Amino acid sequence: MRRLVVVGGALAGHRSAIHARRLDPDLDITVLAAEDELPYQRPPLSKGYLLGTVSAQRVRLRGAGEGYRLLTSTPATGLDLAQSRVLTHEAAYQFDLLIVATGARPHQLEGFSPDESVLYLRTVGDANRLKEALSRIHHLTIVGGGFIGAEVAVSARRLGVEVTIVEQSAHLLSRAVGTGVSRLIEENLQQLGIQLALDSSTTIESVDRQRLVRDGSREWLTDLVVVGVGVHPSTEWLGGALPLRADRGIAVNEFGLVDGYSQIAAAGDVASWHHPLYARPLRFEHFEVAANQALHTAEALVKNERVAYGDLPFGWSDQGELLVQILGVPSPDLAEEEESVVGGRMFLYRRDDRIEGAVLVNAPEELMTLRDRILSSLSSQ
Amino acid sequence: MRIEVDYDKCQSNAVCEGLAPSVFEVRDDGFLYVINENPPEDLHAAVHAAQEQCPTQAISVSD
Ligand SMILES: Cc1cc2nc3c(=O)[nH]c(=O)nc-3n(C[C@H](O)[C@H](O)[C@H](O)COP(=O)(O)OP(=O)(O)OC[C@H]3O[C@@H](n4cnc5c(N)ncnc54)[C@H](O)[C@@H]3O)c2cc1C
Ligand code: SF4
Repeated sequence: MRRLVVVGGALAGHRSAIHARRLDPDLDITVLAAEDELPYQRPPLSKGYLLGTVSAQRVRLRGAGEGYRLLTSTPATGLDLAQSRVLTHEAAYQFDLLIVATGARPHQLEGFSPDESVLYLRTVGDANRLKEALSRIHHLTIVGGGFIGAEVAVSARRLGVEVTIVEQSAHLLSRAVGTGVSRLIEENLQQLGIQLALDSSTTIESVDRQRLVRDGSREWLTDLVVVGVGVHPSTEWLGGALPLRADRGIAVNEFGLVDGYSQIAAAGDVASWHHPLYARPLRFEHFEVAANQALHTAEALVKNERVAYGDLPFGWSDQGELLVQILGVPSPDLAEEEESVVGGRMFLYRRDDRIEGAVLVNAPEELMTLRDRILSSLSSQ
Repeated sequence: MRIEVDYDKCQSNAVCEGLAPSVFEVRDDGFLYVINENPPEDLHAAVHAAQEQCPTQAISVSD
């Protein structure tokens, strides 16, 4: 019997295991998961889960833990390529096929070690701590103006907490989208009464049970600091066994196979995937990309029929009254141009004549036509 | 018409239910249910709208 080992028991891990099971009912499938949880969705953790509108039961993925052997609290600690084994603290798992789906983890900011008043948000455990804290604190400081920071700010504000977002750059989300989109997001947050400290370098020190935040000219007391300054792929456990690219993701081809291997694949936030439409490797931190890549990965390994992942990458962010939908790669270094649409806003990002990405703000009805338009623009030379 | 929902992608925000309440329903358990997988012709436009506007693109429709 062929043995598939999947490392990482969240979205990409669960989906690739489930799909591998569909493709081969006889496969022996083991999923090694670092967390002590059944596979779940992360997007609600900065939104409905904090507000109490999405329950712990609801964040579980359907069929979580069914159809494969799930070993929770069992982080992989190494990969022994010579003997095709994944190592954990207690045992070694022999594989014929291997899928790496260890995702990403938050960058830790120097001087901001996690403790009772400094929190990083990635897991249900983190969200539980944040949720509990939001029910009793007055002031929250968010360090880092990315999507997760903006979403947590909106949720906290809705729960009646005062919020300040501190961001180094002149604009929020300056690494993800152009300034037109940043401005809409900033306006929405300000309308909700959230303070923005942009262009800011911050220091922080303890004062009794609170924290004193200093930002150049200003200083304020805060009860909790949430740090959201980006994530990096969880590859430390590999100890260099698999090739990585400049974006720190595992180097995989258009089918999801790791460069140089036909029995090892990777999907999701951990994978630097060669994207045929862009003819270059790209790594995403989008839910939908991880969900879809997982299926391709399982096909590439289990079936011999390989199908390239050529979907137009899609991500979204819910920020109260604002729904931001991201298609393709809206690099901030590309020229941003706005086109008018009814009801919402639409921004396009071009490289030469090709539309590489787009962002819709409150215009979900444009999504499908826009997707077709970008796909045809990318495939025309 | 056949409707399929990728439940892993669904975030239960009931946008689809708002557009086609006789087809989609988010119940008290927080999960979405497709209560009519083969809706009659007069609902097709509403189902297509739901497919288009689902914020996470969880709905697919085949004719
Ligand atoms: C709070 C939050 C909100 C988000 N909101 C959105 C959103 O609105 N829209 C959107 O498009 N995307 C959103 N995302 C991003 C999205 O959740 C990720 O893209 C997605 O989770 C990636 O899935 P993954 O399976 O690749 O990785 P992960 O979800 O990171 O899962 C990897 C798993 O592997 C485990 N692991 C790591 N190392 C090991 C090891 N050595 N051994 C065993 N297991 C290991 C980890 O513990 C983890 O459980 C959000 C993310 C967060 C944190
Ligand atoms: S609109 Fe999409 S995400 Fe929302 S409940 Fe319907 S299928 Fe789920």
